[in-house]
Amino acid sequence: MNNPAMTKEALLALSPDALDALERKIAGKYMHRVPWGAVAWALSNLMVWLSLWPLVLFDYLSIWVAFPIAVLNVALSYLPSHEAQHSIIAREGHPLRWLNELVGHLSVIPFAQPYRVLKNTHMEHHAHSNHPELDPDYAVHAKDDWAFLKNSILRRQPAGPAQKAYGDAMARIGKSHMLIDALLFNLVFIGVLFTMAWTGHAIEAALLWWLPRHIAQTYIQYYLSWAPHHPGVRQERYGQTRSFKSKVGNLLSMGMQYHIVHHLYPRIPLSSTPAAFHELKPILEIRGCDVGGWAETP
Amino acid sequence: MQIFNFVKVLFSPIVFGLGFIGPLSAEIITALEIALPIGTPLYWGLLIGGLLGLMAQVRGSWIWVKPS
Repeated sequence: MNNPAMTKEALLALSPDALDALERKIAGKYMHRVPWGAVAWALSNLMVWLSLWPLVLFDYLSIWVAFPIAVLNVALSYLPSHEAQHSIIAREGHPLRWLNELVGHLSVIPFAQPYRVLKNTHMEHHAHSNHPELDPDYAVHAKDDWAFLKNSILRRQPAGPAQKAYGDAMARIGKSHMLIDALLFNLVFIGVLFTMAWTGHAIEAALLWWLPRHIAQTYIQYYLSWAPHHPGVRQERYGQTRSFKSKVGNLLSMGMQYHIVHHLYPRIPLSSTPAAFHELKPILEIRGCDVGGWAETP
Repeated sequence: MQIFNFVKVLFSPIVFGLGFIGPLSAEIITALEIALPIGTPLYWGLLIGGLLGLMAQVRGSWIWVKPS
């Protein structure tokens, strides 16, 4: 903490309004930037994943080399769309709005999930984080890592509640008609799997899409939903998320160590959340936020 | 309503078992060169996929353990 104006004593001496203003001023420094890295990430990730199919089918690349790449591609497909869901690339009315929507729709193709449904249910998650009935991601909560894994696998079984929460959320906000997107995505997904399987390419379909999607779903749920919201009991603005120090580092934990900044200021691009978090940390500690392993005092 | 029923059947575990798990199992049997006492890899693949799909259909789970 180099800035003397940001010592705990100095911050505690500020009026609530002054503290709010300081927090917003710091957060504002990191907003209104077009995250070109996320745009490049979205499009290149999709291109790599799409290129795996002909490369494998025409024997230019072993399926065993392509499989881990496909897992990586599917796991990396969600976050650029997440930037678009929050209109971080370009808000409505901005000349680059088309790019925001293009990234939103295209990047999640490997994930086989529709942008409009993801966006609307995600907004409900932000509006009602950790609410047992209203947060569509609430069911992801579990007491520890292993309980999460077991829960994640069981939730997506045919009788599991994985998709019901999203359907219910869309109905609640009067956007059930957008579930047609989910239907179409699922039709294309199983259509590709079935066609590949019955033309002698079942293993390729399984290792380029079906299994990577399952692995990526678990990974994304763990780092984007479970870890930053655990234990998932607080619902107020400064308590609904936490920061944490990941054993696998910031890249492999998908930047979610600083998810608390995202919930407080969703328009800050993912790439800027580490810097924003470290600058905001003294204020967040005063607010009673759980800053996890980043806390200066025990 | 007919479309709804069609979609429900299309996305059912039994259809996924026969449509994907079946041929996938057959390819795995062939790739591993498993000696079969009778029938073809596709026959056994469809038997495996069909039975797994039936279990998932009846129990609501592909892994026997039911979601709570």
